[in-house]
Parts: sequence; structure tokens; C-alpha cells
Amino acid sequence: MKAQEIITKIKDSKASVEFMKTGLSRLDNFLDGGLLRKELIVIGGYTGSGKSFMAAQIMFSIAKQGFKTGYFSLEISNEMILSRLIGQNGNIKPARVLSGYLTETEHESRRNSEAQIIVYDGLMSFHDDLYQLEEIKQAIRVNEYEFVVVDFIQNVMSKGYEEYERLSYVALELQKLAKETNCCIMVISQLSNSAAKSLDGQVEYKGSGSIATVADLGFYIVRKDTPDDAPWGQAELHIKKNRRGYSGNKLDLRVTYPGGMYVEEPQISIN
Amino acid sequence: MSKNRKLALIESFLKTLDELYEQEESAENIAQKLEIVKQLVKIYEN
Repeated sequence: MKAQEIITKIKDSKASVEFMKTGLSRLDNFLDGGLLRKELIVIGGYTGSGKSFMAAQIMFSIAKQGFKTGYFSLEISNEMILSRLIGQNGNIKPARVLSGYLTETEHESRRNSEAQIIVYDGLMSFHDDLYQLEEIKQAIRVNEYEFVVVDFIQNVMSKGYEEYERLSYVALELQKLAKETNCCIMVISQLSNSAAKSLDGQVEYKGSGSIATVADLGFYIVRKDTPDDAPWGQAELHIKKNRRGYSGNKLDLRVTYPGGMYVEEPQISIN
Repeated sequence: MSKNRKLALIESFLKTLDELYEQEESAENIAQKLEIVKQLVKIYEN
């Protein structure tokens, strides 16, 4: 493509740029408005850090803005994802939503939370039976999603015998797909355990350095230790990669108990 | 919110509302229909 054509394309697309707000206002401000189409975003974290909770929360926020969203769960069931979303939204422990053993107050909260989620039923779809990269790509194309979550990248099946080779291929294909379909793709990634044990403490996504290389935005979540009787949990969202600007910053977050919703710490900004 | 996004929301709300009217009426069903109407009003007010 020639420079002149690209400049015209930039001018044409300027008017149609639409930011997808994550719902975390300081993060959205930091990103000049939110996430964008054609971007590949990675959220990393160790087991139990709440990666899927955050991704589902962001997806719900984006669906509420009128974007067509999809969640590909290659780990837990659709029922569990929905229970988490209902629990987050109604501040109920997700396991209790799933089991149905609820107090009268929780029952009322669940009903309200379900109603708030059902409103956006036409803008959210959940897939827990697609594991092959080609199936995921096809579903994104056919459904014309504008934002998707792939939870998680290490479980995507594709060609390549070695994990490094496979994950590099998957990451690159998803980046290509984001551009081709004009969709924003958020992948969840485990973090490398060996990195955690390394002397420099450099955090890396598990399996392939190319996950971070191809991503436009890369984050990872760190859960902080909090006393058992604390009214909320604490977490940090680190900005590892930012193709739009500077990285290395972090956002302090609270995690509501028992629902598990991420909210911003009231007085602390990105530093 | 852009006009396109509002239209996408309204279209989706009406489709879901249609589906809810096809279902048996219950406390959950009524709460869901009311929530959709509430959100529709919010869009029109903005």
C-alpha cells in the first residue's frame, strides 16, 4: 500500500474511531478513551489472580456500550462464566449463584443482577466448546464480533508440536484476525512460573515471548495479600506493553467481596 | 454515545424483549422486561 493511500485511510477512519470503555475510568483515561478495534490485548496473571473475572467484567462493560461481544472459554463452563458475572454484578459469591443456595437477600440480588445482564443478551455470546484456533476464528468472523475474550491462550489447539511454536502461531494469527475482522481481541494468558523465580523478577507470559511481542496492549494482574476479615481485596493491574504510549505503570484496584468485581481505589491514580 | 451504538443497543433490546414475551411470565421474566424498558428510556432521554 502506498503512503498516500494510508494517509487517506487514516483520515477516513478518524471519524469512525470508537473507543470501547473498560469501565475502569482511570485505565480508560490512561488509554485515551479505552480499547480499540484491531487491537490484540493480553491480560496475564497467576492462577487465582482473577484474570477471567476481569475479562468478563470488561466484556460486560463493552456490551453495555452497544458492541457485539463474545467470550471463548477454553477452561471453565459457560454456566460458571455467567455465574461469575451475575455474582460480580450482584456482589454474591459465584459458587452460591451456581449452587442456587441463596439467602432471601441474595436471591433478590441475583434476580436484579440477572435482569441487568439479560438486557444485553443480544450483545453477548458465550462459547465453551471451541478449542481449535480455526473454529474460534470462524466463530469471530461469522458472528461479526466487535470485541472478544479468548480465555486462555495456552489452551488454544493449533498446529505446532512444541508449546513455543504453537503459541507463537496462535498469537500471530489472532493479531492478524483482529485486523482482518475489525475486532478487538483480548486474550488471557498464564504467566511463566520460571520468570517468577528469576532474579530480576521480570514477568513473562507463559510459553512464548511472542505473545507480548505481537500484543498491542499487555497487562498482568497481581493480587495482594489481604487479611481474611478485610472488606475487600487488593490488586494491581500492571501495564507491561503499550504500543500507544508508555508502559511500566500500574493501577491499584479493589476487589469487592464476595462478588469479585474490580473497582478502582478511590484516591490512587495510575503511577 | 454515537448514534450507531444507540441503534445497536435499541435493536438488541427489542429483540430480547420479544424473546422474553415468548417466555412464561415469572418474577424473573417481569424483572428482565422492566430492566429493558428502563434502559430503553435511558437511551431516549440521552
